[in-house]
Amino acid sequence: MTWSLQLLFATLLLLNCSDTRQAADNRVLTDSVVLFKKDSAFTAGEVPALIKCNLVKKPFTVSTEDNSRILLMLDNPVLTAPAEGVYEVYVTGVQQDVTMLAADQKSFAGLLDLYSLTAPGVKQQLELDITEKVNPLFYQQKAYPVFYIYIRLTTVQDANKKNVPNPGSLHFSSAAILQVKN
Amino acid sequence: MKNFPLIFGGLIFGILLFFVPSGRKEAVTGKNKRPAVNIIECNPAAPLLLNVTSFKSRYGLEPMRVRKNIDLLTQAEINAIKVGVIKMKALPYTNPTSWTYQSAIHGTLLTDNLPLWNSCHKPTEANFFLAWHRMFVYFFERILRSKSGRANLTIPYWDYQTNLVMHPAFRDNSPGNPLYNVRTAAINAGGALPSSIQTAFNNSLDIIPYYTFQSNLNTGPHGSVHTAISGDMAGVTTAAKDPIFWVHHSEIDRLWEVWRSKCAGRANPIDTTWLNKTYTFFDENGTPVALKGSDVVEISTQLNYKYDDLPAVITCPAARPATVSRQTLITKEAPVELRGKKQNTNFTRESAEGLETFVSTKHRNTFNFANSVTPERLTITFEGLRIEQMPEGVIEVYLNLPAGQTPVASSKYFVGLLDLFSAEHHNNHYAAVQNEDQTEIDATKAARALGLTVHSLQNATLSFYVRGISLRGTEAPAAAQISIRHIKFSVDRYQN
Ligand SMILES: [Cu+2]
Repeated sequence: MTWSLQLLFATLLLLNCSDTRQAADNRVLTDSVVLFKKDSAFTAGEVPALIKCNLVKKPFTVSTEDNSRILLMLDNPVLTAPAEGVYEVYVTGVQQDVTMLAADQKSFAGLLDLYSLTAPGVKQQLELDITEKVNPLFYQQKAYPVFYIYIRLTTVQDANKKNVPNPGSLHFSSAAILQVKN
Repeated sequence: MKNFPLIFGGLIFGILLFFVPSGRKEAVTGKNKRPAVNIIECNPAAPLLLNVTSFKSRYGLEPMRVRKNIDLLTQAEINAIKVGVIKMKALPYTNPTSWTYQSAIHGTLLTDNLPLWNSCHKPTEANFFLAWHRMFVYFFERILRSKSGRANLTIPYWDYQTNLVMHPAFRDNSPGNPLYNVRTAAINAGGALPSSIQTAFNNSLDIIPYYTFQSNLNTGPHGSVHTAISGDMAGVTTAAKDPIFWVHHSEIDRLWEVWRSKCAGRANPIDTTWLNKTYTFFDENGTPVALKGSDVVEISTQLNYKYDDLPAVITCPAARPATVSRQTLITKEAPVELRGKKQNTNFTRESAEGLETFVSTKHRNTFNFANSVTPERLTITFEGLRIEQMPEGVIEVYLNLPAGQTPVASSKYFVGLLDLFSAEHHNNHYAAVQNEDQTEIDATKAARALGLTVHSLQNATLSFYVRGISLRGTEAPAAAQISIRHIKFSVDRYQN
């Protein structure tokens, strides 16, 4: 890790303790329901984090009228080394062989934005809209839906198209799934 | 930003002395009389801060410039960029047109807190992500152009959809290459960014509402490119020090235009908060210029640049005209069940009353698909849709597919998708499913290709085919469990 990066990460950690309230959501959440909460810390890297989401509440109908969305919230992300790649998120209805997860599949939910977290004063929390991914599962599973979230680091490739190894990982203090009405 | 004029005070005042051109000096000092001393007149009306009008009148008419794909740049064009970067890097960091000052406008770890430093990525200003960066790259480009001495210089863009490998000019570690920077080793060795970045960019472009698109682009693929490249790029307070930053953000700016060019309801914001949001940057003479959101919505007419693969002005066709009337022609009364991979259904046993009424009142057995005033469209409505098992794929619908023929979406029999998950309709569909409501497909194209008459709908066959996701060329197995209570053919008339 270069000197400037060390400084960057140190800054990032410091900012985490400073005025995070100022960076509170711009979005006014008039209605928000916690569907799932994971209170223990976990880690994602080249070995993916797997969160089994056993919903505590049946989600209410998502419709255009109330514009409600299902959000994955990941708290206090800390990188142990430069990512040199992207953190991919997958949502599946059944547990999967992680080597089979690929971004051209329907289960690909998006990428985590660790970059924006480095801006001064930004709340150290990642948010990913997974509405399109979980809705079909909610409909399939009538009572209390169960689904799986995988968070995996996919590194850049070398000139021989091999993913380069990366020693780093991404730690989270907790996670939650919210249903919000804007 | 509130203290802006105050902060500027001393620093800018010195830079902003406008000198009277020599011709005017003579007018001031009298006809044919040369002044004894060289009079330098400070123009008292010179503004400390230019707005869009004073900025444009200062530089006059400018030619249209084209931002190119970096892979298409000539060596001479790359060299001009290098010259500009070297000159900017040679300036003291307190000079607003210096490399360090410009990158500090985005973010910096320096603590001098000079005017405009650290003005990007404020937590409360995420709605202006694209507009702010458009202005930032635009003014940086003007500075780089003026330093390079090449009148047509523009910042090229890195098209991630066609090439995940960084341009070699930015990776060349030869001494003195101003475009080189320390990054992820594999990237500087010619390795590729992860391909999920391409998927994520595509997914962003599919989103219709501007702010949702912007947020998805910003917090997904845009940020991931930063962290994948790593080094300075990985942090907001260092990113713009890496020369590749500008090429990345030229692409982000282009993607805004690509998004617009996909039309289908995509449009720039029209709320006054966005339109009136003002940001200040420095032009090539170090003069601060304030632009509003509304000043940067049409790049070719307002900022004199375009992208090499997009039209200068993006125009979208008018929204589909409103239906004037709908007339039901024939209804499949019995439920249709799709259990598994495919299912056919026909209308032979259904009442032909609607068909007869249409033919007898219109005195024609044909559709007026091409009528210029009130064209008709054939619509298939699926009522009482219930999904017991979602397919891992899509449900294709075919009209009059001959028995034994393989369903192919590029064939004339293809009507469309019973696309239960599509981003734009998804919510409706979900609600529809819950309430046993309806969805519809426009079958006009297939009806024209098949030369359907009104009466021939009595013999129409609909085929449903569950198409699995294609994984690297191979279709994955897919099945669905779906029931549809009624299927209707109707003719809609539109007012052109
Ligand atoms: Cu950026």
